[in-house]
Amino acid sequence: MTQALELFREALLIRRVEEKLLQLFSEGRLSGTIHSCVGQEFSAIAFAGQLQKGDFVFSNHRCHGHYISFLKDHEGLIAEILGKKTGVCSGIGGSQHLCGNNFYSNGIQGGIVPVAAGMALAKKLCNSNSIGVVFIGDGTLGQGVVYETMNIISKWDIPLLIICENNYYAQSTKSETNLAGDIIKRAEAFGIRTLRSETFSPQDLVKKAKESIDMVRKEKKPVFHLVETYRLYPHSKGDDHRDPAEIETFRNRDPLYNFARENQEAYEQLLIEVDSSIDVAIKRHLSADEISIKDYYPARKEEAPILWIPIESIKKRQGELINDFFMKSMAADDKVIFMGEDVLSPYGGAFKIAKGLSVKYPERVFATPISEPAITGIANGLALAGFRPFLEIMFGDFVTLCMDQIINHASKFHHMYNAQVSCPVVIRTPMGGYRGYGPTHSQTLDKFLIGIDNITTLALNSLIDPSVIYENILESSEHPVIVIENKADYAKRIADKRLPHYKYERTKGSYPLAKISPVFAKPTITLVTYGGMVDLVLSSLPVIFEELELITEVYVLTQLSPLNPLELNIVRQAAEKTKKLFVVEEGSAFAGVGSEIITSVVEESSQAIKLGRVASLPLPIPSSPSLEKCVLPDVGTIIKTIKERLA
Amino acid sequence: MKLLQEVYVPQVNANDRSAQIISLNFASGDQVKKGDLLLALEYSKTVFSVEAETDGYIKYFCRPEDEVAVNGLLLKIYDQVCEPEVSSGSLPKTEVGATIFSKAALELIKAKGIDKARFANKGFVSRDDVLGILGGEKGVEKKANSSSVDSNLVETKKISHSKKLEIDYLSQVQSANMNSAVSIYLDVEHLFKSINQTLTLKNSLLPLIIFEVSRLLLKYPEFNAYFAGEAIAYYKRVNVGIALDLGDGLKVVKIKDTADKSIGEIEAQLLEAGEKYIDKKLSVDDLTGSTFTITDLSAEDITSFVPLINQNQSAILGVAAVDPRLQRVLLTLAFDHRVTAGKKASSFIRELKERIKSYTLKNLPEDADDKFSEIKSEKKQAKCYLCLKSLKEDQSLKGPGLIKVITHDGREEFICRSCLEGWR
Ligand SMILES: Cc1ncc(C[n+]2csc(CCOP(=O)(O)OP(=O)(O)O)c2C)c(N)n1
Repeated sequence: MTQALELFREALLIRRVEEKLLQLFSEGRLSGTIHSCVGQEFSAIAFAGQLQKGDFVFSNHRCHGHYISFLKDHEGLIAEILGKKTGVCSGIGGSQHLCGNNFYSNGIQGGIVPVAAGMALAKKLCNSNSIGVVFIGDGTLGQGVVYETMNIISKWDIPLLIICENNYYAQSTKSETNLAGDIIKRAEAFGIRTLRSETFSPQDLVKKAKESIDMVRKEKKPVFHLVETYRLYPHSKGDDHRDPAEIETFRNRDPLYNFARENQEAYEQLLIEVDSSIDVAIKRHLSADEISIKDYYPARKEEAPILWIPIESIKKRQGELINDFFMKSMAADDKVIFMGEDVLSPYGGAFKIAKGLSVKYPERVFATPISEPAITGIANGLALAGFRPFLEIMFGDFVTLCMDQIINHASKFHHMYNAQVSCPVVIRTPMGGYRGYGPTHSQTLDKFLIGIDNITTLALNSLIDPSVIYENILESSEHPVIVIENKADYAKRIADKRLPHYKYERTKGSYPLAKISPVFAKPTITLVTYGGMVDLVLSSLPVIFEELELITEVYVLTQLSPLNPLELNIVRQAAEKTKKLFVVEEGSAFAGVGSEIITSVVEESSQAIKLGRVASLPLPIPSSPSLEKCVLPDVGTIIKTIKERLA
Repeated sequence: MKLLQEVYVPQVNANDRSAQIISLNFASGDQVKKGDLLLALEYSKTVFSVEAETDGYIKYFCRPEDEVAVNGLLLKIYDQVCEPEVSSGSLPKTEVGATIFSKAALELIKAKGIDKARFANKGFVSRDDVLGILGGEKGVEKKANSSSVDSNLVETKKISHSKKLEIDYLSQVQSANMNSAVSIYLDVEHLFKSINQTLTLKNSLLPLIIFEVSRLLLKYPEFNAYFAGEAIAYYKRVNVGIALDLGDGLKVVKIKDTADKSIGEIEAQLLEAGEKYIDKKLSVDDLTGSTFTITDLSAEDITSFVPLINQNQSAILGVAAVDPRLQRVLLTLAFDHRVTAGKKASSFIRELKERIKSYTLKNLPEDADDKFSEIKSEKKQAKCYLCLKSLKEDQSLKGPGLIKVITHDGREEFICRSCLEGWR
């Protein structure tokens, strides 16, 4: 077969797969939605089809062509879209969430771009010759994260090829409605090399695509390649409001239609060949099973049994201990990466956790631009590629900017790609007030970081050596971990001051539960707290007795999400004895971590337990010192809440 | 001289703040080898030994029988001989800290002019604690009463260090009265048929209970004993006292040497005691010297109560009324926690129930209802744990039945006469 004929055969295969899928959809034999790339196939062939082993592809919702060209596996794709166990992601991902052999697609416009950049950075760090390719549409040029990433890949010389398939529409909206200025100039503004081609001249496209790929590989620099194209079918399902005359114009420019018109016999021959292989695949997989919930959601691993050991005091500050951990782990493991804003020494990050790291490990410490979405995505990409990135988000308030990467990427990758990948990214961020930093630099937003599938959320505290926690994260975590640190705790020594009459113990597990209990008296009230509230709570214990004659035992959680059932059980048994369970948290109470702790404890109990939440007022944290004091919890709030709830 | 190893008193459990040195296996200055046992420590529930992690020369910082605080220094090992030196006695105890008074407690202390130092040993002092001192009932300061000991009647054993720690621990929480109780239901349906044949009084549980309790007291001497300050005094004989109130006030009448008597003899003495009570002929000897008390409130239609332990005893058994509908009675054993512990009390009372239940086994009609299926199936399945001879086989061989034994590893098993006594 000539090269040209082979091109048409592949394009026809992509087109016929999608046409068959659309047909199955209209027959009601396929659920969900698919975005066909009919009219755009040559872009897939030119780029995804010309990559080497070791290269990788990230794609978007319109990914079928990219997948087929890259992996030559239309059967796995068909089975996947049919929702079958035999699909590439066992039917979990479906049309726009494919994963297999270095191919990844996701349905969030723009989010894959930094992830692809992270994986390409990983290739570079490994001195590999491989490159990455990411496909976006013109509509996705509306996403800020795309530009954040362009800035970074240009600055850091990351071998990533961005292909923008401009089909003149974003869903139903014409590009000109929303797109200002010039596409190519956008990339050029970041100092990225650009190329331009179109699917209407396939031979030229293939040639230029090869040029781009080679350039990225050789120069280890990014390239932005704009491909003019046109989608001949509706965006996804049937509704298409474009002018039929416009569609007709592009149909007449479509190389495949022209090929069919001009080489009828050859075309018929190809069609028979392609169709029969598709029909065989459909027939084979239509009757396959769907994955069972048992396989998708296997029973939780048994938690390690609880063993109590005394809490040792450490004459070092929490911040220093975290810094020690990085010094040690970066020396021991060259996959450990430290990223964040302003983390280069001598500054070493806003709270000095990175002090000295960039001097010792300049190639693995990345001081990033102020681009939280992109750097989180890059950390995700590094993690997917087997690195252990630790991303510092300067202030906890800024974590909201990372949420798309946390929820739609890091959290979902493992399950939606049917456990083929894990993304052990670690995001560290300090929260907490009491320092007059005001509304956007003081809030405890932990409530937004719990209950996310697959993500373990921890809170450091002043009783547990943080290196124990970080070592366990490094050793055992397959999945993303978010660590909430506390600004005010960085300067504290571990378990430094101790209350008389109380003993301090912790569990021996990876993310310890601490218990502070009276030595020679029966507790009469149970308090649960975590993170930056620990010292406040401990300082309130004598006052609780003086004022309320209640002897307190305190449980301090390290792991906030998911809550460990064995720890909940301990807290429940304790609360059933004291008949009083209060949580103290720094965020506001409504829909907070405390509510979740209380519910999880009480729903397992048949006893009447008095409950209460001590928390901040539901307001932004004011800067004014006296007002900040009123909004954040203090000993008085604890006493008042307990008193009121028990009255 | 280089320091190679340093050992501090480890915290092995939540309760113990200190441990006692049982033995030092070397003398300061001795050469030790890696793996040598250096000393042993006793905690309330465990004994802990310390091993050398390296070869070297040892120096102890404690002496045998010292009580040492958790985290206190025990020993060091150096690379060279070090001058033996007399250690400075036992180490300081863990700092307990100043007492915390509630505001309400302080007000009362001030109002009543009480010396705050009286609470020096307490961590937390509430208003109730102060009231306790005032009223004298909830005595925070009440010392355990040390009793006199007659060595003709009892044999004393020093209280172990671990038990002392436990008593110390409990008394801080519980005030001086350290009684505790365990209860169990005893089914009485089908129980009396065979006893009734031999006894004068029909459907009377008491002689049977006295008989079985007395035999059990030989096995569990701590319930036939009392707390005597530094030691526990164990009675040499078993004299069960019966709390009687037949209209002339409560009297505890002694039935002598009940462990050596049959049920019939016990019943006869019981009847005699009752007559003496009514005739006001009880002597001083009758009213003193019992070593364990049983109080029977079955006539009072009481479903449950916790009896009070008599002086110079460690336990008392309360028998409540038989519930006529459920055909069961509640047995409650109250005991002195300083002498024994809940686990022992539970096994005592459970074993008592088992023993009495075995009478039911004898009487059980074939058509007894489901409630007895457990007993019946036990009856059916019972076999000698050594030769596996079943109860049925034993019957056909004209054996006496199977006997319950406690095996050396603490299990309860049946054994046949042949295996118990050898073949004849
Ligand atoms: C973050 C996000 N916003 C909105 C959507 C819904 N959506 C799916 S495809 C699409 C249009 C994308 O246009 P473009 O990037 O030009 O790609 P095309 O569909 O033209 O291939 C939109 C808005 C989405 N998937 N993700």
